[in-house]
Amino acid sequence: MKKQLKNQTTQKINPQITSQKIILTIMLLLLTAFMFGCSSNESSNPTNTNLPNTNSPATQQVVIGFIAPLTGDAAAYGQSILKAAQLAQKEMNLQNVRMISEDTRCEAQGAVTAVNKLLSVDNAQVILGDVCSGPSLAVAPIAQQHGVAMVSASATSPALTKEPNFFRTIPSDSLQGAFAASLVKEKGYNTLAIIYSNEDYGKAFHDVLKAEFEKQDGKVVDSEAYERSETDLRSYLTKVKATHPDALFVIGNSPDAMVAMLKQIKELGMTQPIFGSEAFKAQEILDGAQGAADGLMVSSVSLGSQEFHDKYVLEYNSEPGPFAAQGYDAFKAIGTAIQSGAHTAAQIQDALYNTVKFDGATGSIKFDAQGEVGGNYVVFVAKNNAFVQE
Amino acid sequence: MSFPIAQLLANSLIIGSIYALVAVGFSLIYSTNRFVHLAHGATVVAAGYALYSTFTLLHLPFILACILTIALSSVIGFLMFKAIYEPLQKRKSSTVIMLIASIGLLTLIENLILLFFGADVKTIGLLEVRQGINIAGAIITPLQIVLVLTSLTLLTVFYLFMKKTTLGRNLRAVADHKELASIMGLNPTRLMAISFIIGSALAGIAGILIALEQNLDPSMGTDLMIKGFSGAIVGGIYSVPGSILGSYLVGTAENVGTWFLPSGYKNAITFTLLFLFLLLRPKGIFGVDKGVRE
Repeated sequence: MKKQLKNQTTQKINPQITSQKIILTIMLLLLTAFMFGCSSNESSNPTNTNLPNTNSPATQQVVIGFIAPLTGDAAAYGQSILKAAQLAQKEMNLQNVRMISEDTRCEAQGAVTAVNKLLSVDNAQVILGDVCSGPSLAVAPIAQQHGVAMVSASATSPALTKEPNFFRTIPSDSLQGAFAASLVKEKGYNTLAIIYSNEDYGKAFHDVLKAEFEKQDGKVVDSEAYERSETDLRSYLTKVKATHPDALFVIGNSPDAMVAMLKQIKELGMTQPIFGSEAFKAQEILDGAQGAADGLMVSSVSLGSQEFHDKYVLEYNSEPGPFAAQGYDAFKAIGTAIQSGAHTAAQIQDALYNTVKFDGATGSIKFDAQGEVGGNYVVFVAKNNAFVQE
Repeated sequence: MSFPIAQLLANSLIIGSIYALVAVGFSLIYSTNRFVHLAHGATVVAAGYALYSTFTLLHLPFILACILTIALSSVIGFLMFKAIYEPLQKRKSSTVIMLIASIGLLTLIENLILLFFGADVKTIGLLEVRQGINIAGAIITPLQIVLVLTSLTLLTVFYLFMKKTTLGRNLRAVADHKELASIMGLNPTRLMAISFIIGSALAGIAGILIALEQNLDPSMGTDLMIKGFSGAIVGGIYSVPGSILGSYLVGTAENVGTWFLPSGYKNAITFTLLFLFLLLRPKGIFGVDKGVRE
C-alpha cells in the first residue's frame, strides 16, 4: 500500500512532462498538417505552371475554383465530375487558367469554408460546383457578393433558379419531377410512396414530384423523409409498407443510404417496383446492393454523347461516372467564356449569360435568362448488375 | 393502416442490439475512467473496416477474420489509453480536456480510415440479400436473428463476468471509488487499461455486426456514438444492465415514435428522450448515486 502511494507521488513530480509535451505538440502538428494536406488540390495545365502572374490582360491568370464532395459519402459524384472537368481542361488547353479544387463533403458548412477560401485566398473569378443542391444554395449568395458566377454540373434543386449568379449544365428538377411522374403513370401505377432525403435537394424534388403526380390523377399515399446518409431505414419502410402503394419512388444523393434502402426494401419483403432519382445510376450502388437493385428504374439525365464517352475512356481507361458529361460541359462553358476574352469575374458571368454557346457532351448548351439549360431524360433499368437503357 | 407492432418491435430489437453493444463498452470505460471516451465510436468503425479488409479483401475464413478484428479493436482501445489518455490523466487533466482529446481521436481515426479506404460504399457480402422470414407478423432475416441473439448472449455473459468474476469485481471496485480501491491493493491504472481492452473488444463485435447488417461509412462512428451514449445515459451510465436497457429503449422510441410522428423526427425523438432523462432522472433508470468521488 505504502509503495503504491509513494509511486503516485513520484509520478506527480516526474520531469518526463516536458518530453510528453514535445510528443503531444508533434502529434498536434502532424494532425494539422494531415488535415490541410488532404483539403486542397491544384491542377493546372502542365505547359504554364511557371508563368509569372502579371496583371497585363494578355497573361492575366484566371482561377477557376472547383468545389465538390471529394471525401464523404457523395465523393463518387465529386470525383467523377472533377475528372471530366480535368479532361475538358486538358482538351481546351487554355493558357493562364488554373483550376483549384476544394472539398465540400456535400455539406453547407464545408462549401462555405471552401468558397470563402477560393474567393479570398485564391481570388477565383468563377466557381465550378457544388455537386449537391444544399451546399450550392448556401454558397451562391457568398459568390454573388463577390460578383462571381457559379456553374454546377449536378445541383438540380428548383430553388437554385432564382440565384442570379448560378448556372448549371443539368436541367432543374422541376423538369425531372414532371418526367418522373409521367414515367410512373405510364407504367400503370396510380398510388405512389415517396421516400426522400431530408435536405434541400430531396425536399424540393419530393414537392415537384408529388405535385406533378397528383396533377396526373395519381395519389401519393405516403411521404417519408430520412436523414441524408442514414443506413437504418426500417422504421420508415415499415410505415411505407403499411400504406400498400403501387410503387415506390426513392430520392437520394448518398450511396450509403441508397444501398441500405434497396437491401432493406427487399429484406422487408416489399415487392413493389422501385423508381429512383438519377443519383442511383452509379455502378457502386448496384455492387453494394448485391442483387437487391434488380428491376430498379432510374430517371436519369443524358449520359452524354458517344464522342464524349470515347474520349473519356481513352483518357482514363474507365467508364464515365455519374454527371461526368455535365461536368465536362460545365468546364467547357467556363472555358468558352474565357476563350472569348473574359478575364474578370464580371466578364465571365456576362459571357455565360450572353455569348457562351457550344455543342457539349450533353447536347447544345446555351444558358437562358435564369442560367438554366433544357434537357432530356432517359430511363435506365437495373438488370444483372448493370444498367440497361430502356 | 394497421399498426404493425411485431415489425416495429423487431426493428427496435435489431437496432437496439447494436446500440447496446456500443453503449456497454462505453459505459464500462466511462465508469472506471470517469471521462467521456467518444473515440469509442471510431473503434467500432475501425472494426468494421478491419473485417472488410480481412474477410472481403484478404479472403480469410470468416471466423479467423472476426477473431483478428476483435483483437485489433482491443489493441486500438489499449493504444488510445496508453498513448493519449494515460499521459493526460497523469497530469491530472480535467474531464473537459479528456473529452476534447477523445473528439480529436474520433476525428483522426475516421479521417485515417477515409484516407486509406476511400468513401465509396463498402459491403461485406457474407450472405446474399434476400427476403426475411415471417415470425409472428414481423419480417426478419436470419442474419438479423443471429445479430440479436449474439448481442443478447454477449451482454448476458458480460453482465455475469462483471458480477461473478474477480476481475469484474475489481473493475467495479475501481468504478465505485478509485482511491479506496487503490488503498485496498488494486492497481487502478492497470484496471483502467483492462476496461479499455474489454470495452473496445465489445466495440469490435458491434463493428462486425454493423458491417454485416448495414454497409460501411467512415463517418458512421459519430452517429453510433451519439446513440450509444444516449442509451447509456438513459439506462444509467454506471450500470451495465442499465446501459443495455437504455439502448433498447432508445431503439424502441426511435422506431415506434417514427410511426406516430412525421419521419425526419427520428433523431429528435432520441434527443428528447435524452433530455427528459437528464432533466428528470440524470442517474438513468438503473442509476445509483456514485458521486462520492467528487
